[in-house]
Amino acid sequence: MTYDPTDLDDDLDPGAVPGPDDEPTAAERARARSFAELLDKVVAGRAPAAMPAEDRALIEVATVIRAASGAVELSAARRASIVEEALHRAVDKAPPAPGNVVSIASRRAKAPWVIAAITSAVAIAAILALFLRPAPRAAAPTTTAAAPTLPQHLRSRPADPLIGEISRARSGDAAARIDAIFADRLDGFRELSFGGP
Amino acid sequence: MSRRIMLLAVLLVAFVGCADRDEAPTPADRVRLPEPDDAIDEPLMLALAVAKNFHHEAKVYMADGKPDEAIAAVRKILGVAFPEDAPEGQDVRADAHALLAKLYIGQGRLEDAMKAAEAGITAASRDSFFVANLHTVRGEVLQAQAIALALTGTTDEIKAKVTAIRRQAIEAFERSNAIVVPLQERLYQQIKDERP
Repeated sequence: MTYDPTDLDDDLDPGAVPGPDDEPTAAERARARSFAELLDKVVAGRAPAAMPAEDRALIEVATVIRAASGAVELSAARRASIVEEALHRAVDKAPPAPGNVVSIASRRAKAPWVIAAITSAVAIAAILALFLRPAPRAAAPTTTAAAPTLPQHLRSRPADPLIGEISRARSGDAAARIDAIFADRLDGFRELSFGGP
Repeated sequence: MSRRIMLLAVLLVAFVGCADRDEAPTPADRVRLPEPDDAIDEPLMLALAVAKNFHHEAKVYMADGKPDEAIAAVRKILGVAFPEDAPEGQDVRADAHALLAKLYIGQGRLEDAMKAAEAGITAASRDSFFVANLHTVRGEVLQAQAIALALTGTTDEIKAKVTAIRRQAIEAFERSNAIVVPLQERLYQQIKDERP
């Protein structure tokens, strides 16, 4: 790029264009400082309501350059609004008024707390149910009723009816008597244990 | 909305948890009813089986002419552990005491025979044919003692003692009858009552 000293394109500086190696003048320094401050304000979102057309043009150029570099981010509210609008368009609905937009991000932020609250409540209810559950009723009568009276032949009992009177002649025949007792009780035991003799 | 869902969930869990549930009987409970304490059970059958075997062991020894071994076998019956309060246990022990007394009589050990018979009578807690048999055996022991004493002399003193012992034997037999008669009557009555 060649330098043309006759090119007078700066409306704010009607003087001759300084050479590239010339020291900046005080006026140039002052202008550069004031533009830098203005640019800082715009970047910080505090752009002045009115500014010279020259400065506005420069600011717009600077903003475009900055946006192109990717250093500009939309505010969270603005991003949410754009996303909501895009979603509504996708489902073929009219976009809601900006004031009525419910942020998905805010819902996402609440979801873990809601889930945690529900699971905590369920856990507390389960614990309460465990401790406050009434004691079980007495078991069914069929299972705990008093032991039924067994028929005589299934019970332990005196052997008198089985043996009868012991004559003197058979007084010492204890082996035969115990055989009879054992056989009789064995029938009862089998009936009790196996349901039949 | 989320509060309503949460409240519903809590109420649902509380109702389910606090529901008054019956303890359903298990299949095992339904299958087998509880039995009375006096049901014929394994311990009783085991004790009867052991006693039976000792009786037959004694019988074999007696057949072999080995009274001491027979006595030892019968004494083992007295040590068999029957279930507590099992009437069969009392009957079997009474019969073992009677057999033991008779074995002692056969050996001429009349004192031991009397001790065995009286031990059986003392241990009995109710009247039975077995206890009556013990009184009968005791009478036999007394008879044997009277005979043995009579063989020792013919003095008046001995005769008087023999007469006294024989009287005791008669009393023992009468005591046996005193047990048997009402017992028989009770059993007959019982049979009558059970008939349709």
